[in-house]
Amino acid sequence: MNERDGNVMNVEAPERVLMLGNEAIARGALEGGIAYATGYPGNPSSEILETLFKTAEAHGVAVEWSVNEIVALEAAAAFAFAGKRAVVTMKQNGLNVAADFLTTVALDELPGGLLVVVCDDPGPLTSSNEQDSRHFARIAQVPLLEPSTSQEAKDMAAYGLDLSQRFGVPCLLRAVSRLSHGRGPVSPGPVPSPGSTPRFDTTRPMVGLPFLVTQNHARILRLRETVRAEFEASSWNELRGPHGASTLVVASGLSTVYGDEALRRLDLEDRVALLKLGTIWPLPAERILEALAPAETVLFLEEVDPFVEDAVKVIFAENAERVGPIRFLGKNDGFVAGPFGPGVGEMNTDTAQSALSRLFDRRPADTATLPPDLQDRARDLLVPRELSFCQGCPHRASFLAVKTALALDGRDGFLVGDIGCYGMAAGNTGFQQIKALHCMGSGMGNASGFSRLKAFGFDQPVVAVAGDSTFFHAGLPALANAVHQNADAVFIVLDNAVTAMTGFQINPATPAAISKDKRELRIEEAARGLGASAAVLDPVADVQAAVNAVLDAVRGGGVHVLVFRHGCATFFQKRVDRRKQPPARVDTALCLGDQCGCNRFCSRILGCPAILFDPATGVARIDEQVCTGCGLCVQVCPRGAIRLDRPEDESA
Amino acid sequence: MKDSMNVVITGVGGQGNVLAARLLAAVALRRGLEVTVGDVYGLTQRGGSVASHVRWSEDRPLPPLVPTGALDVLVAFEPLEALRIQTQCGNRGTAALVNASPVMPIGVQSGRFPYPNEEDLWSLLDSMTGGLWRIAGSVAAREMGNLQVLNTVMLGALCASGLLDFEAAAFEEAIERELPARFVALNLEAFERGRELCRPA
Repeated sequence: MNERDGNVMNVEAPERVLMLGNEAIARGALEGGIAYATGYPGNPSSEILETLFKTAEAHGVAVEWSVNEIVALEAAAAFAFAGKRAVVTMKQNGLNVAADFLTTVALDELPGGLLVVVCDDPGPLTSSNEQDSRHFARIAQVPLLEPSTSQEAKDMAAYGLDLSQRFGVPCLLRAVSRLSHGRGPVSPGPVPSPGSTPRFDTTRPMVGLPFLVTQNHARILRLRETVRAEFEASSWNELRGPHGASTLVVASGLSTVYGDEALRRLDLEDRVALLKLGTIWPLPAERILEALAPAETVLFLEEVDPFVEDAVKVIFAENAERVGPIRFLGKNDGFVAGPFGPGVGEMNTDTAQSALSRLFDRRPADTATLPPDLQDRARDLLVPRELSFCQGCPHRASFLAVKTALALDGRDGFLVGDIGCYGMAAGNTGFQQIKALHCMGSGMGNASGFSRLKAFGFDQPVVAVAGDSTFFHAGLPALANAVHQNADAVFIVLDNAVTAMTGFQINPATPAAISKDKRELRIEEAARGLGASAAVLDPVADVQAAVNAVLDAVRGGGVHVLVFRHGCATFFQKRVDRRKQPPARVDTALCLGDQCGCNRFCSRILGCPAILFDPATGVARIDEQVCTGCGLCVQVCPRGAIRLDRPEDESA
Repeated sequence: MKDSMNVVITGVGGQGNVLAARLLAAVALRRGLEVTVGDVYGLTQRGGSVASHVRWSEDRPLPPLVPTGALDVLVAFEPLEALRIQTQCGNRGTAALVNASPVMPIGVQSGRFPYPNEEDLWSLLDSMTGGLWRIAGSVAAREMGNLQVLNTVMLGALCASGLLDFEAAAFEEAIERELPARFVALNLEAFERGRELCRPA
């Protein structure tokens, strides 16, 4: 990210600036008067808090990366309990983690404001599911807003905070990857000055005791109708296009601009009306009925599930006497479908256009598409750029150690993991070691259960892997369970000092020298405190020692935690003094190339971006510009042909 | 005139497409156009295929990604990535400015598969586009002693191509406004170098 990014928070009207959707949400939260912002990093949500960190001090806002999403939400709620406003951010998987608190805090009458921002990842670019988080608005019965542009993202974040405080209910704002990571013009508004001193009114406790639940539940269902009345008049919803059109497109959030572009490309703007919806729960039923009245055909555009489609059909059925027969087209009947089928993957202009093309039997005028023979020739040439651990990445050494140890053990052992950079170890770059990958900390829970399979004759060793941040996020309960159940389990924690996957955020394991005012927690101390044995190793400095440690652990009993500690190479690259960390080089006299019998271990198996096989000379070569000098290849070359030489002249 | 303009700036992670897209978008925004930028990247920090879609219209917000077949101008920092994007969203009329220097994918580096034959690649790009500029961008950036300025070199080439209705002064102003002060002079020089590398069609 460019250094100017922080400046979007410092602009003043009337300047119009380009903002990421996520930057716009951050700006909107500031304009909405937040005193506190929390979250757990996860693509595509991370930039919201990153942006707020840059301006926290200037605006007197407290910002934190919490250990997980439910803690983030619980912490943010404390501000709302005390009459202040707070925002909490997460990706879709994170809302599942936070949902337990969300569905209970929804029953409170909040004195302050609480905005929950969830960024969904349809057609997932960086996720292990493509869940549609809008369902949580219905489960918790809280208002839900869905923006269509950066400007709306900003305005809705501010509005959502205000709405939350006025009605005393948490408000959800749902973005999708393309909105979060798209840039559009935003006209900023004023940022309010800090308000009153916070105070928790002890005469108004926030307690979810069973006998209070039914009355609070009834209250929030009544409140839903009050909120609906406000949404009926809201400018977030808008009916566009020809009056009385017999065809209506109903679009939710960003799908509005896809529908808009598809209609323009097909020259259908004079024939089709478009109902843009921005308040998604509760839906503005009267506005929808007005739009349905002249319609004979209604087509839904939304990501991912038919959420609005289903809800509009209920509104239609309940008011059948007011609206005539309508043909509904969407995901339920498969009419609106992307390349993977209806209700799967992202919405985009192509998908919207393909549905409208079929409905009206017309194609866009301006597209001179490429003939199939050229496309075929291109596909023949298009070699992939595969996912790879970065040069110097400690995960490469860690997974090489696990692979080697499990092979030496010889009992068809395997690795179970979760999400993070190290999740790529399910692929070539991690030697295809991870065999189960789901959600935060899932490998450690799986391993706890695999241990109990032994009673049924299961004899394969199982190693679980998690990152440093994941260990504190979700690993601790799994570890406690494994110890409590007397499991035999090996947990490897890949401690690279930062939450690398999502942009190097700090976490409890981050050294205090980097996190500054935060207190550093030691993974091995936590593990020992929970009754596991724990050892710390640097797999890059001594990969053989890491192999031995894994082998010993899988052959022993009880719960072993191996902390593989080596800083993220990409994060620390700029901090390294290159004179002290020279690149590796290949001694071409020693490298035997294809005659060696190592099967080009360094370039082909290790897969480091800095190591090439030079077909001209028939030996390996190190790209000095790319090499970080980590020394892993030096340790694994069977010929000892790779060296890390200290430069002779320090002043050079 | 066309009611929208669709540009994609593509390359390999680390080549600076995001910044180039921001500068181009800043120029369009100053013109009072409705600009949208969509950055497409995968899981990796470095080495993967990346693309920034920069789109504008006179009057309304556009979605972040260029629809299939609707690409007007392609700016590629790497030839293989040019082919990838052109196949995804290009058409026979797309104008393409392509940096001549390949960046080897990890699978090529490790010898698992070859990089496409360059003659085949360029001739295919030529028949897939309505105008192809082969730009010695990396060479110019390396001569300046900093491969990091390839992105601004390519912006200079884009400006000189005359494909967009934006003056050099508008780009220069964007560089001055958007970049940290210590990088402005270097990038202005890179922009000028890029302009020398391209002639209008």
